[in-house]
Amino acid sequence: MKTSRKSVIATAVLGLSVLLTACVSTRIEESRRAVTLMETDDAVVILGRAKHTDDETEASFTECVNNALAGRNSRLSLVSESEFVDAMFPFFEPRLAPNNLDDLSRVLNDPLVAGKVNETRVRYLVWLDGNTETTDQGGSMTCTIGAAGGGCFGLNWWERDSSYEATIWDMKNLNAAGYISADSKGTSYVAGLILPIPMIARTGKAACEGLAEQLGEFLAMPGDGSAASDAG
Amino acid sequence: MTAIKPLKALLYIIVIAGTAACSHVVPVTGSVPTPVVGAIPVAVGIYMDDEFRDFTHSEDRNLGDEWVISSGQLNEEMFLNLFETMFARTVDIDTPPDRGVSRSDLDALLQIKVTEYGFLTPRETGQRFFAVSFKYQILMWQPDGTPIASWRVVGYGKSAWTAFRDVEGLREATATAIRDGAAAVALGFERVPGVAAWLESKGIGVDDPADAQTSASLSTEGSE
Repeated sequence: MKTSRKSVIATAVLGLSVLLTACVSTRIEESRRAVTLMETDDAVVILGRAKHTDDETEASFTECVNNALAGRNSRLSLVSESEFVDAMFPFFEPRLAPNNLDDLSRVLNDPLVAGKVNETRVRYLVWLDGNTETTDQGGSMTCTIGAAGGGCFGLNWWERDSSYEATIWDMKNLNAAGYISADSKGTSYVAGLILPIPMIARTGKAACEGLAEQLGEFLAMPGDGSAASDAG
Repeated sequence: MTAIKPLKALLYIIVIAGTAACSHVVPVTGSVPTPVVGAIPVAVGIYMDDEFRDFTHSEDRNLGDEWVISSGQLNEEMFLNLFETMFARTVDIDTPPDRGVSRSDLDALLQIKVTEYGFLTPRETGQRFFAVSFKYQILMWQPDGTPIASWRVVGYGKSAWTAFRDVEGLREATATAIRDGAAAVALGFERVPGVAAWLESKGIGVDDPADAQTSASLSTEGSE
């Protein structure tokens, strides 16, 4: 009896969470420029592009891609952003980080800096650039509370666009190995039916997971089953 | 009827909490990375006065929105670690160096000061981040008190705003600004005109290829 009640509750929670999740459409595009040859000792670092404006890549997005990639490929050695930036101080600080491969090769001309990169074992550096923004919104909702009770009535909606690009640099050959872009769009709603019922379109999460999956395939090691072999 | 009383009490609490003056105490902590720079073969006496070591900024904004930001400890740790890496040997000195010190084992004396600290909150800018700037002044003398150089360095920091985490947001932005200031000192040092001339007089060449990219990114105002 207890088990059946538990399963009813679990089904209800699952059903509710499915119902309360709004639709998200995601588009992933990849452009490979060079063959990626990950070896067992090679590591990858994912860095978010910092800007002194409101539209810089969210730290939570970088963390999400890092976690999703680690979850998909346990053989991939990932160096955390803070560990790498601290180890390379001050060359990857927000105002000083190389913007292009010419900057990178200038920085790596210094034997001290090149030696430090070797110490971290980072072969591929992934720059994440982009952000999530609300592109449109509307509707109205009124919530009242009184002695006889309260409730919310109406409908609010907003449209979000999560647009990110990953640029993969090969730290050994000093070239751009490729680019992956993820664009997720979705509309969230909050319907006021006495209780406010949210239906949230998680565009950031969808872009993160799509990007991490593609990145996992892009950086696959020999023996992973999906190792990249063609340069386009 | 009895059920309404707790609801009223809750409403009163929300109203009182919303109108009460707000005080934010921000103890600034953060990581202190060791810079990837080669040590310049000189011995330098480092002077940090109490104002620098205990630097605290207090400001009252928008009727009772009070902020107390204590960043002295992180400033001290960050810059001591930086100077210890930048120079072959450093010595802490405890007297103001502008009149010189009787130390024949030192090549120069250096003092760092905070001349200005400023911050912006998301409430003021309408943006979803905290922004911080530190202005530092660095002064260098020969051991006998003859000035070598004096220049200003600005450190900027920014952190994303998260609801109910204002203190953490300003802490992070301040720590980032200190790091940025230290980065500017590390990579801009040998390009300060007075310092470059002094290094040349000591027969120390200035040729660091990794510095090239930084010249456009860092604001270092030099003067002698």
